[in-house]
Amino acid sequence: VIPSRTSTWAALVPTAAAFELSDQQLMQALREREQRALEQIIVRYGDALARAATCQLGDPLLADEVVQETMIGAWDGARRTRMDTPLRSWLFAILFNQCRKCARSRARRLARGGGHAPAIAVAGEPADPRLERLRCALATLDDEHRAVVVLRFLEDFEIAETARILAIPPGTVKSRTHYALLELRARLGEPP
Amino acid sequence: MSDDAFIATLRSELIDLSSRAATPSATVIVRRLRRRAALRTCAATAAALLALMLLARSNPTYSSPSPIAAIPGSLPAWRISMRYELQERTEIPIPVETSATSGELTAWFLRLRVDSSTHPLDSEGYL
Repeated sequence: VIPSRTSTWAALVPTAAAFELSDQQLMQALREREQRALEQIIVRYGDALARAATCQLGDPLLADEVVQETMIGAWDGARRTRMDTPLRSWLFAILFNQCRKCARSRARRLARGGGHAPAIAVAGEPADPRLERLRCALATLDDEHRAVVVLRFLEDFEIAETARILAIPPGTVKSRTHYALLELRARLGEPP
Repeated sequence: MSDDAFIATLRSELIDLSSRAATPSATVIVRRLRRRAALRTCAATAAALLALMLLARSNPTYSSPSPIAAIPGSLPAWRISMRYELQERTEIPIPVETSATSGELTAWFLRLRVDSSTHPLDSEGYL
């Protein structure tokens, strides 16, 4: 028997404020369609997801859209996911799937002559030359290599977790990391 | 520059670069979910009505081309319960019991609104 959402949330929250709930408790509440669990997950991981999507896509507006899709995907997919799935890496796996979809549709739009090229710099704001260099260097990496850089060095995921998120073997994460760092060094004028 | 130093610089610059990311709004995401759930309910309701109309059309007592349908008095129980269910859910009388015209049905479709601001988030579109 699935407990009602009210009783589940009521059982979880009186003993701790919502922000004190563990990821596993939030996952359980999300599986039981508890809106407050979704809101708490957005508070807890929304910023990190938005940062990663911004670096991956190079466009804060697209990143915002992708984060929304990620949360909707999490809401839809929670019941199909094992209870012991780590919430954080599961969210990042959804995020990077959404990023891939988004990149594909952006490429189609660009091929048709519409849309716009990725640019983190917001119009009207002076771009920091140091960050502009990094942005250009990241843009030269392909999506797979950039994803590894974002997960390993922005979000500090271990190799095994990065491999699970991207659904690739750990050896591939290592080799992508190696080649991505070589490429970034070359682009940023830092000899190995 | 050593690998460690390069990676340390890279980490710090990635953080700066990503600082332009917008903070996601829970309100916006919940509103999107509600709107989607409301649309699903709306679509399911319309589909159920169409099913009712098709059932009525397949009835041999149907004769006039202009009125859409007239469900006869001897309705099977499940058809009756479907109509009551639809009516209860939408709070809009459904004009299929008597000889509803296409205009009446169009009007019913136009009145078929689901309030997305209060719609349950977890609706799968089932009535």
